[in-house]
Amino acid sequence: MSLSRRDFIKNTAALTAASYIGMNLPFVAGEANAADVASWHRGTCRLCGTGCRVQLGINSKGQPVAMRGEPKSRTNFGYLCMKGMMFYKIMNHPDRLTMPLYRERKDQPFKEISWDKALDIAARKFAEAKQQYGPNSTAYYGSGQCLTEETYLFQKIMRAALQTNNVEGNPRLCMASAVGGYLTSFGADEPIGSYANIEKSSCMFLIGSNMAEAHPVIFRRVMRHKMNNKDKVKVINADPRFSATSRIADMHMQFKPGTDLAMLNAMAYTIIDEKLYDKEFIADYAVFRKGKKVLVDMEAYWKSLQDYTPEKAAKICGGNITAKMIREAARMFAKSDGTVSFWCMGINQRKRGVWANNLIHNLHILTGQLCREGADSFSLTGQPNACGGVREGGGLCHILPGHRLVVKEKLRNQVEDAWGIPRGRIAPKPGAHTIKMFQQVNSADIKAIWINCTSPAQSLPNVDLYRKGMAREDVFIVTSDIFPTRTTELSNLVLPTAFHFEKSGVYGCTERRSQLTPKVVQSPGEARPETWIATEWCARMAKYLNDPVVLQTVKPFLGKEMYVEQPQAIWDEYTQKLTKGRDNDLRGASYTVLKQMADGVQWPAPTEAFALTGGTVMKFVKGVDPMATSMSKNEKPFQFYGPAHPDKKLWIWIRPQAGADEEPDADWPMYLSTGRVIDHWHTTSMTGRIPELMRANPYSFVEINPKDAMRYGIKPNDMVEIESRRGKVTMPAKVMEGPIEGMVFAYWHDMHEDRMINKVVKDSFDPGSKEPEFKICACRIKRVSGPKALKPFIVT
Amino acid sequence: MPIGGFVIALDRSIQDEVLTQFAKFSQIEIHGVDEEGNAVAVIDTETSDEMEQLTRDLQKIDGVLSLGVTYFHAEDEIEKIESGELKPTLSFGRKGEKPANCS
Amino acid sequence: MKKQVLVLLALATLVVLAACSSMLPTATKAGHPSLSEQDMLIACSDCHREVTPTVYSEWYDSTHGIGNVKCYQCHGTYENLQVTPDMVQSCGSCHTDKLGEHTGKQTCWECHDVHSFLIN
Repeated sequence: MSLSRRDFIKNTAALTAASYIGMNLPFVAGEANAADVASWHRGTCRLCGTGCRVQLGINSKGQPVAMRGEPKSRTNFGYLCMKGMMFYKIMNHPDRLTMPLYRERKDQPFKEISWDKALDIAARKFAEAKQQYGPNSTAYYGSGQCLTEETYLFQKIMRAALQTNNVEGNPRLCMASAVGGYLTSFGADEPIGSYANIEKSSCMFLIGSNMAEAHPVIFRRVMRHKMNNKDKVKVINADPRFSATSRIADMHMQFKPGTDLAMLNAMAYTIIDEKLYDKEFIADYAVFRKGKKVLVDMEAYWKSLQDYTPEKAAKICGGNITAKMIREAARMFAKSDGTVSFWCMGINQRKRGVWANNLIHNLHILTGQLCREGADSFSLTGQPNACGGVREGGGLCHILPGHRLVVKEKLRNQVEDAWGIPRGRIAPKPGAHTIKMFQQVNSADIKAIWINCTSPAQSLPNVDLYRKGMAREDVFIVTSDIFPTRTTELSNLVLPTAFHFEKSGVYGCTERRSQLTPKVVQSPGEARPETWIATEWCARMAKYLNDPVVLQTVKPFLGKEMYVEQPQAIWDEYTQKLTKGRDNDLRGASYTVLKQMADGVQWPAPTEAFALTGGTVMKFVKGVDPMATSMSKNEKPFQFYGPAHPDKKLWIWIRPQAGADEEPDADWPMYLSTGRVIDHWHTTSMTGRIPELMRANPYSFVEINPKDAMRYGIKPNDMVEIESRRGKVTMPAKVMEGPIEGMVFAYWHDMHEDRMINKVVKDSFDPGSKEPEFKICACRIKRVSGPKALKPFIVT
Repeated sequence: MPIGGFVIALDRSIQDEVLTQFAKFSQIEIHGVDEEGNAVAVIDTETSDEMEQLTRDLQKIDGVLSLGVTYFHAEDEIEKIESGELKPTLSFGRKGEKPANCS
Repeated sequence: MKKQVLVLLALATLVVLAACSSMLPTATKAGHPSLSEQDMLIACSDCHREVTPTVYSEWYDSTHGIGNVKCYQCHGTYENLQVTPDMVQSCGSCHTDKLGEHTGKQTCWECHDVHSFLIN
């Protein structure tokens, strides 16, 4: 510190005195906080998957000047985290993209061009690619931060107009395994219950999630429930890392990375061994499976768990895991009046992420901790609209809107009919999943790709490999975004988009709740909503492709007012035609209904009357879920009508322990894991432009266990090189009881070349879900130097 | 060496003379005076006893209407006392009695 | 024993010195002691853990500390610092429903001690 401590204290003394009499001392005065709000407008937060409802304050000039929480919302009850509090500050930021930018070659500087020219170039390039190289030479890579209207429209254009299923999005990198887990365990995607289960629970099992920093406002509810019921409510935190979340845990299970499948199986072993399972629930609702087509029974399941006695599992897990701890955790889980499990990337971003999800669901099915208040198996979604837009709206290469599979002809036909296009138009096979898509960019099999509202040039695993491909001159890249990013750096055409509150649209959050954000502020310069951009682009492609079906794709939306009317028309088509009768029925959640609500509507909500009450709080329960009632097959209270399970049962899966794809060895002796910090969102392109947030975590740090730090001679803030088979970065060190010994934990938000940890991470992926294993790979570290004066960096 | 932050209310009509008087004390830093005659001061002394004495002296100055502490930091003094470097005198009850001594 | 006596000493001095009754703190826009650009990149809590340890530990153990409500959310950053936050702007961002009937004419911290936020 350059300021002496005495000086600091003296200044504090002066300031305290001055504050009592409202005096401005002659220091550098700050800018005035112009909080002269003329009106407040309700919407959804732009950041994480919690779905906090906010109120944006507008001054008399129509500028955004303040943000506060919406107290009547059932997601956040008025609370916000610092990102939600401050994101409005970037709306007027000078770095906002305001004009379309184009360059024919990527080694040239960008030139500003008109929308007319820009859309024409985009249309021509994609049309040419389709004509010369076939539909699968085109691709769309979208985002869980796009509005549902945007994702739905883009995937419609790709499939109906360009006839490719090369539709992907960054939720492939975060939620695909959770989707796979829900589909294979419950037969339907997304959580059964709601956040409301928190306040009714007696045991909360937090695994593979640093909820305190990644979902702060949901964590607030967990924290509050625990604090109000210190002895009655138990919190178990399972994580190789001691995180901010661990502070409220009664038990912290710290195991070696990748060994949690053994641990979960051992908990299941205990539940069966000590007869803590719900015999009736299992008999009524569950079956046992070893493979997709292999049905087994409880005997076989029990036999498979013999490899996972608590003693055996403790040996595999290492860390602080003992057989006693596993048994205790299992008992707490099984015996509590209501157990809710929460997990996120620690479980999903794994080579066997789907299996890990299954094993958590297994525990709930075995103990009947489902379908009642306070009991649920609740996957936390990372992004604000991964559920609503991508998972429900058809934003992945193998699914169509309304939870339909591309491979099922009957379902393709339903979609074609709804779109008024000829049957057979939609390609019958899934497209390229994300890693495959960017491998195809590398090989220039994909000639034209549209990247919307995400930055794969920073967020892909083993990122330098894919940046090489994206830099190719024979791959035409269109990026639509609000700020320059690592990805706009590799693009030919950059299109400026309207930001949140600058356009109308719906986000669907973690708890199946769709919520509307209205247009309240005018976007700067020539920035336009993506729905307008896509509609115009497709209309021009129709001319180049000379194909009436291409025009038909966007005809219902052409010429409509771009900020409200157009997105509303798109939402109406999606909800009324594509979700009708599906398990995510959203027909009741019209804009009219959504506008009336402090929060939003949980599907299924087939009617407006039901939607206005808030929708389905708990799926599969007769009397609570209208579809459970309408699709009831028998007199049982729970009906598991999910589309993926023809037998309408819950499936308990036999899954073996499987470690990471790349475990440490002699040359690469440390585990590397990565993750977020509370102050920053993903690649920092937004939060990095807000001084309060940037200064809280101006660069990526690497957390090192004190024992490892001593071994390597590393002191706090020393510069440390983290190297893997794929690349290396150098980051300042935080020495703390965070990661387990033998593991380092690097933050991934930094876009500085020296500190982009995704260069080091491995791009292996789950064979079922295709989700990459960001969370575990092998690395080595070494001390490079003492502390250095680093500068924060964002692409401008 | 305790540090104290104070608000000192001054008689505005003779404000400048008072401030000149303050300037004689090296332990006082005046950080600003507002239109009402309130001065923000930081006092930095060797011991709390000294600070006590100083504030009593300051209040005797003509034109000092009141003196209020808003912030007080004495951590290093406590450290010195703990280490034995400083031996404070404490008096309880009636003045004139022999003060107690901390061992 | 020594520690208790010392605390008493400090308190005694404080009592003697406190001539003014405490006045209502008002919102103010005062600057932070000037720091270099580099020092401004240190998280608030990292320095304040050292220089205002009582404030830090009160905050750290409070619902704000466990819930990761950080210094700058109430106090701003250097260019817009408020040593005493504007109640409506800062507290009101999350606790909107408490402004008005619940607070009446008082400030939040008259009852909810900063930084522990326990009701005094």
